[in-house]
Amino acid sequence: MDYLLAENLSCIRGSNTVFKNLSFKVSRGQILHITGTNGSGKTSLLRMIAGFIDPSDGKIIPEQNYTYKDVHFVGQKYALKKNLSVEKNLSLWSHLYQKKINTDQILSDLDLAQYKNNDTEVLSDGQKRRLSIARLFIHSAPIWLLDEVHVHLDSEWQVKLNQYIYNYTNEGGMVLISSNTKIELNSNIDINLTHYNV
Amino acid sequence: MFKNLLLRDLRLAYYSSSNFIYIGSFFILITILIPFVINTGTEDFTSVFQGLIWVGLALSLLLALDKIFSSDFDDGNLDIILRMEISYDKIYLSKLLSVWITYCLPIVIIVPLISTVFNLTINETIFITVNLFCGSFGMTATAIAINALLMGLKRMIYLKSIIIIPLYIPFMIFGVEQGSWPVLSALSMIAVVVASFATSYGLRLYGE
Repeated sequence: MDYLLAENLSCIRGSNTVFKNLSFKVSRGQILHITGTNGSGKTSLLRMIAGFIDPSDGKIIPEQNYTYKDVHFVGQKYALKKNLSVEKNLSLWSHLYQKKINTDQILSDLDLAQYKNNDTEVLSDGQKRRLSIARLFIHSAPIWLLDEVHVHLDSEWQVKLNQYIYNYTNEGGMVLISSNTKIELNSNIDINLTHYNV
Repeated sequence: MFKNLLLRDLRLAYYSSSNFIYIGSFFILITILIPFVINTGTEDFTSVFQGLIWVGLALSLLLALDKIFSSDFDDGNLDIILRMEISYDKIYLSKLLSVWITYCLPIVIIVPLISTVFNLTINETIFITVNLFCGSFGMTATAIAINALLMGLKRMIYLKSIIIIPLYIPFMIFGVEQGSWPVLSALSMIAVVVASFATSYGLRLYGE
């Protein structure tokens, strides 16, 4: 898939119109940065592209040759079992993604090697976020949908995450990322959803 | 993919406190403790036991209520599962097998072992075990469907219990009758089919 096109997307939740007439095009190797105030629809937009929510109006192209398995959605939830160790959580993900993983290598890359046998509930939010990012390295997909993944990360890890994103787009990946705080990300396209709120 | 999801769920059950040993111990405690508070003769233990195993099974499945879909929904793992190359029907089937193996299989294994304590003959033990085997799939499917439909409701385990327990009544009525395994099998088949539609619908609603 070479591009992702959204045409006149609208999102209505209950009786509220969250955003309306949103159009954009993202190509391979590009980063789309979605910003906006709380409740402006950043998460809804990403979940719409991931296929969890149907557009209230408009469409996402290509409709053909695009399956929701092509997207790698990393949401605000960490997807961690809090009463299981870091190693066991990685093991569960490797089962889900059908990938054999080098746990030590991943934990070393994320500076979490010393927590390998600790339950994830003892980790700080920043460490949990780092661990949740590990999913990006276990499984590959043409599109990354990252929902406020910079939250809780310190400045050093925000820079490292940005570097992972640049490396991925340089290899031809497509990234749609949302944030409600200022992050130093060199994006190709910026969308402020507040402008599309009704 | 189906196999991976099933193995993942079984591994998760093994890692967590809801593993097979806990469920087996829970069931044994219920069947052993309740006769102490029922004022009945030894000869009546048989009929008490027949009722108790169904109550034990229902309680064991109620223990699973905050585990099936709900925990994956709460922590975000459901996002991963629903974006894998697997249909909703196969997700349902995988849950049916994993929940049955985790919560019902220990009971199906334990019942013949402890039935001698309650003066059951071999024939009676076989009838009870076959009934339990046939009915437990339907009860598991019912629990999965209700969880899939109500997984977004936080702290609503009591509501789920209130909805599920009446649905278990037909299984319990026929479960205590010897030789009623064909009826229980039919009930289970109906429950498994209806639950597959309900679960798929619940998973589709998930994004909303």
